[in-house]
Amino acid sequence: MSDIGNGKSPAPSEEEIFTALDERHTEEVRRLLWDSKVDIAGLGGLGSNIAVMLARAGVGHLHLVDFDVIDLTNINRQYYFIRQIGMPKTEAISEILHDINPYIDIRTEKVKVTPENYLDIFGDAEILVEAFDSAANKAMLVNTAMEQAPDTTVVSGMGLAGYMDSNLIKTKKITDKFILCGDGVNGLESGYHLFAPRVSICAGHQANAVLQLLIEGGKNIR
Amino acid sequence: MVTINGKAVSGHVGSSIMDYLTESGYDPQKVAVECDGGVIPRKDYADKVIRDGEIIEIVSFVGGG
Repeated sequence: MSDIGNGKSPAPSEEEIFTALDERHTEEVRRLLWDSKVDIAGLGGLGSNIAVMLARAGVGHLHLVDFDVIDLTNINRQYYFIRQIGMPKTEAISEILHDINPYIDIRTEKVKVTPENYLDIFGDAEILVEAFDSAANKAMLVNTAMEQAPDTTVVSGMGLAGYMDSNLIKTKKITDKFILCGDGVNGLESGYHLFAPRVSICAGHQANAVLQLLIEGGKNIR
Repeated sequence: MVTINGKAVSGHVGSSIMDYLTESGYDPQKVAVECDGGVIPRKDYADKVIRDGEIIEIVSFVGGG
């Protein structure tokens, strides 16, 4: 058994990580994902889980944007730990992602996204994951991206509250540039609360849609 | 007749998107409106008139993330 990760050994080399990913994902897919960049807007329940899944998949470049700091009420569903309470989510997620793969290129911005600063932050995004919390901000980001950056594909998450049927959560292509994940209806407005399982299921849909876009151009997203 | 969110609806040909949204109880600040394969810019909601035969999808965002 390898002693890597027992706290005494150095981190695996980049080559060792590549070899492991090649074994799991094939060399072709590993190279493609390692050369890819994904932008994530919001690092709460959706965004933190999506970032972790994309890091595990071996996406090489992540641009992560959130203005918030971690508090105790985040721990029920977000990929953070008690020891990180009070940290900016951008810093905390970088720490976690580097524990998964120390060689990922991570760029973070601690800023609130608005239509006015959208192009400065996400102007070069090919794939943008919408992972905000409020309905108005979700709509703002999707509409702003469609209006200001027609080449960006947005993968949005919406309708994931509560603990009703997991299978209501779907991935749907609204347009070639707008992919929507979630059940589409069950939100905080309905009096439902947020629980880790359905938040993670929706995050999984969004992360998988990103892989589908990166690896095969999204041709199997319907 | 137009198709909105998969349902055939009558009586809205000639209305603007903004009129349809407000009459139907949508908050224009919390939607994205798709028509003909594209998302309609928010600034065009008042001017964009619904035409016979169009297929429109209104994504009404809910909170949680």
